[in-house]
Amino acid sequence: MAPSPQEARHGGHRACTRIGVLIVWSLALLAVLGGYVTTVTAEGRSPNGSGIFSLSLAEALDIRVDASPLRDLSEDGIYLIDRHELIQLRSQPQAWQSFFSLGRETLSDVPLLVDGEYFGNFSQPRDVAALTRDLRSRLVRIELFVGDRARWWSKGEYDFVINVITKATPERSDDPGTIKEERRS
Amino acid sequence: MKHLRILLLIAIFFGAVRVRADDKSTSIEYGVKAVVLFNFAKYVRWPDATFTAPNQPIRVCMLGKSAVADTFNSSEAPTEAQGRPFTFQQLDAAKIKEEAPKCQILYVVNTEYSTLTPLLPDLQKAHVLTVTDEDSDNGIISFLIQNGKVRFRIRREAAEKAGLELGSQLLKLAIIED
Repeated sequence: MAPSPQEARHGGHRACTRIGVLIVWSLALLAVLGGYVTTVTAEGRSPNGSGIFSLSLAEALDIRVDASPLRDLSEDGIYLIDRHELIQLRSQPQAWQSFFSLGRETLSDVPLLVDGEYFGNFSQPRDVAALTRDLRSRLVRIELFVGDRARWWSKGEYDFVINVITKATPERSDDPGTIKEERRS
Repeated sequence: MKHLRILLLIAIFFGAVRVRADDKSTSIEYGVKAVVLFNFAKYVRWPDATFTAPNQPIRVCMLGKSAVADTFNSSEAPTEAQGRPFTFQQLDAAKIKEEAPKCQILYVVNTEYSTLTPLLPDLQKAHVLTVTDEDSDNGIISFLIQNGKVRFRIRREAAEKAGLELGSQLLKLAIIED
């Protein structure tokens, strides 16, 4: 026997109520899980610390606390981000993100290479945020190619190129000249 | 009433998400100072009588407001030093007289130097390693910034008077003031 309109309305109302209760309890469960995950995360801390606390005393004392990771890129050459600034970038996720964000603003249309392979372009940052999260733990060095060297890397297209090194790469045999490493303090 | 319950649960959910969100950012200087303070806990020897139980923690306390606290309150902070639990505590200035002597390391922010001075004799008797920034002569150790990097100056005589033995790992990296 088909339900009466009244029964159908009542049944529909009960279904909506059940869905509402289900949503409410799901949110509550997520809230509890969120607290549980936080608790587990806190309890699972390394006794010696992680992040910046993984630095030795000598390493910590060697970090420049007044430096900006970006430099004046007006001169031709390769600018290496030295090891200590890499440590700084590694231990400060916000500095790392700022580095690329600022790069995106001031070096628009700059190509980003990873281990010499084209990854994307800063003006269209394909997953730059995800890339930086992934690269942080694997980062060896960042090379900023400027001027002739950038034009060589980009086959004449760009004056700035950023190359992120995550593994040892062999020297390029077809480099047009001696690549002189210039460290900027 | 049902709507209120739903709103409350949504608020709790987003609160939980915020708790799991990334820790607050700190400037690198405060992070470095936190690392150095932790290393003091690793490489300073306190007299045996300082600890009455094997699991008594090494306490780093801070008087005054500084972003150093944010680094210690993050999920990256260590929990152990010299085989003992390692804790960080922000002290209430109103309870400093009772609480400060129970700390092993007391870092005093420059706004609280006047609070520190009258406590120095008690802190020395309690073998507390007092740490300040460079504009104070009252700490056993003072932080300073030299050539854009954090350094620390040790007053060796003050350390000896407090019965503290400073490890070679600290002495070789410190500026020593005899």
